[in-house]
Amino acid sequence: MEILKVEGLYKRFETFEVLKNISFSVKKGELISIIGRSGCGKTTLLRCINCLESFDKGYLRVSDIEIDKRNGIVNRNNGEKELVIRAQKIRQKVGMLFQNLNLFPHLTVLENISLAPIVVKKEPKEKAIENAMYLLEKVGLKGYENRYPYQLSGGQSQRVAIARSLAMNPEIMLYDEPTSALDPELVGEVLNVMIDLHKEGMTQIIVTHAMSFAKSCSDLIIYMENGEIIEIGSPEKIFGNPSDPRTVEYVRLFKE
Amino acid sequence: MKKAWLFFAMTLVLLFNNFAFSNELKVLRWAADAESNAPYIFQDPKIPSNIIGFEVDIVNAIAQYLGVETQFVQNQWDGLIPGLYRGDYDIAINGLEITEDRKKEVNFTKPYYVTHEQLVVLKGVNYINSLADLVGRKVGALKNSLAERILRAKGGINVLTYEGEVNAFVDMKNGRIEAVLVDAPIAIYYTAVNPEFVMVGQPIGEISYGIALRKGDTLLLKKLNLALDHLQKSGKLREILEEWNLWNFMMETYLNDFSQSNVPPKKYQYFVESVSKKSEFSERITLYIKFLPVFLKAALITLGLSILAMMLAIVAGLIIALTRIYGGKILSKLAVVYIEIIRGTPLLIQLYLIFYALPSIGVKLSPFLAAILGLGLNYAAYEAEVYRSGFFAIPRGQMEAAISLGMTKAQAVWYIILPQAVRIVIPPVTNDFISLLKDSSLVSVITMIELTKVYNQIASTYYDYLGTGIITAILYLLLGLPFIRIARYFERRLTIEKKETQKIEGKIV
Repeated sequence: MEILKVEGLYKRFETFEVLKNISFSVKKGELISIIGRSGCGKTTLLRCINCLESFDKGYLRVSDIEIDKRNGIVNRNNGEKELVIRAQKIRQKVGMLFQNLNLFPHLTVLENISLAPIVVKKEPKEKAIENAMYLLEKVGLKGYENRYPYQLSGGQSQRVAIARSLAMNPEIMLYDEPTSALDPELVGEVLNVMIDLHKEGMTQIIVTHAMSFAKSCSDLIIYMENGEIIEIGSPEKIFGNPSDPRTVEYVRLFKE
Repeated sequence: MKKAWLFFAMTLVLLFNNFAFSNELKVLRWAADAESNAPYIFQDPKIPSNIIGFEVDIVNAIAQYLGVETQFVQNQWDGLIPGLYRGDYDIAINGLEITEDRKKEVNFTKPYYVTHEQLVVLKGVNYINSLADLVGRKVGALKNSLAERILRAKGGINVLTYEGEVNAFVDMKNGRIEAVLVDAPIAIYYTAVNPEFVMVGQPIGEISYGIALRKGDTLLLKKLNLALDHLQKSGKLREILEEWNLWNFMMETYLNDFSQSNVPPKKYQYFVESVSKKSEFSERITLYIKFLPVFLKAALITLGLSILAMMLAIVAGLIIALTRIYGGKILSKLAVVYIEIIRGTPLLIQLYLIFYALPSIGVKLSPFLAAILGLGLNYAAYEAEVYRSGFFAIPRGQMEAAISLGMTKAQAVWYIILPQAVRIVIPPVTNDFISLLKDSSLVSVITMIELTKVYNQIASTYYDYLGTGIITAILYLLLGLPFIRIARYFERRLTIEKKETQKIEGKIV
């Protein structure tokens, strides 16, 4: 079952085309890695899926909510107001982990995690806190609930950010280079969380430079260059027998 | 056409109301500036909360004749006539000279006192005895007074004008001017308690004081003139003036009463005795201790006023800042216009507009409310800008993280951006509060009696600007000190947190 579908998506900043004719779909429970050089549009693509950026043309569907701009700017029942509402609905179904995390510095770990369920989903406070405690345990941070973000290490912050997204019960998780800022010895603890989530059937899309992780854990790998998807395939295909010469050149960088 | 009729009807109602009010006058609301010095209207040197003066006695005598109560309304001297038309009181009596210019704005009763201008010099100066001796010299006078006009008309005199006579006398003592020309009552009282000054020369010019009232209040004018007639004929006016040592040859001519004086100047003596001979340090200290309750009460008013104004500024400023940042094109433009206008015009003018101009469109605020509104709305513009810088100091990612958790923009601002911005702006906002505390001294122009006003009143009664000035300064300092501390505390805490965060960020980025 396709939980995410992107079709013919274009995005430009001023005159610069960041995304060109992006099409792919993701099935429920899949773990997708997006790889490519810096500036190829990976992060922008994630931000478009999460509706943090609007796109100029194309089609996006997350779960049962669609934004259709195939025939131009506004389409069918997608008036400006409707777009804002749908964008917000999509964001509730998609969790996003930012490169610099953006934990809320004025709130404790527990408040960071439980705020959105209380405010957005109107969950009762007790239930939200109970769930937050459960998630903290899950990411291995039991006992840290009353700390403030500045009292956490990089890896711990990362896991709190993941727990904060999971608290909203998303159907898809997006990660923007989740391990690039971590000390090497901390990378494992974050990746393990994602592997656990994969086992539980969470749909995840990861923009990453960690090739060994992409290779060993992904169901599918998307290779992007200059705002285009060059190739989509299984790790074995992308790393073992890529069909496009540009992919060949890129993966060769990681073979030595 | 309908509107015209409505307007006509309303005017009629207003006129009728006024008329009815004057007809059954129960309370005579009279205004003066209690810092206008002896002998006009001033604070009792022994009991600072009492207002005394020969004009107080005259008002009381008039009220007694008319069988009404009196109610004193403190008002800045410059604002006495605008205040009449604001409707805060019905008459103004405060050494107001009857001039053609003033007669265009208000009606005057017949004079209750006629006097002249008097030259005052430093003791030992023997080369000044007349106007002619002043040519080529620097001479002081009160702004817009008859004395100033006489000096200018003479020609060749370097005239310096002053807001208060004490400033002129101090300047003379310091050698900046060589003589001062003032209304005789001022000269009599000032030289009596400051023996280093003496009156010299013949009386100069003639000046008549009258009671001012609104142009429309003709019935009240008639009543006041009747009362003055009575005071003159019964000898009551002469008695009052003699008690204050103000009976002079001009009043003899005016009232055609050349009989021997038989009333001792006991009120004059009371003043001279209580104000002079206080040069001894310990006596001064006892005097200051006596003032303290009055000063403390005024300090509390200043503090309360400032806190309320700041609360308004904080809330209104926040609304303006949010409108400017998130309000969309038109609203945000409006917010900018508000901020620019408020920051680009003097607070003093804004206060005048709120207090004296708003009543003409039907909004009449009490001095206290006008002061809070004026200060609060002024500071709101500054706070809005402080908030804006606070908002911009929050990284963009905070908003994005909140939104990607499904929050609406409003929720993100309320739960994520605002709490962080508030912590950033606490130190600058606290600093602003301290300057508001000091700016609050401006509201004395709209008749609020706060710390600076009380300072002026007491200083002008005792001709002591130094000692009382230091007391006032210390009080302002004490009021502001706790808030300076608060600002420091939050500044320190913020820098510590920033360092910690940078340490962590340094680790991951």
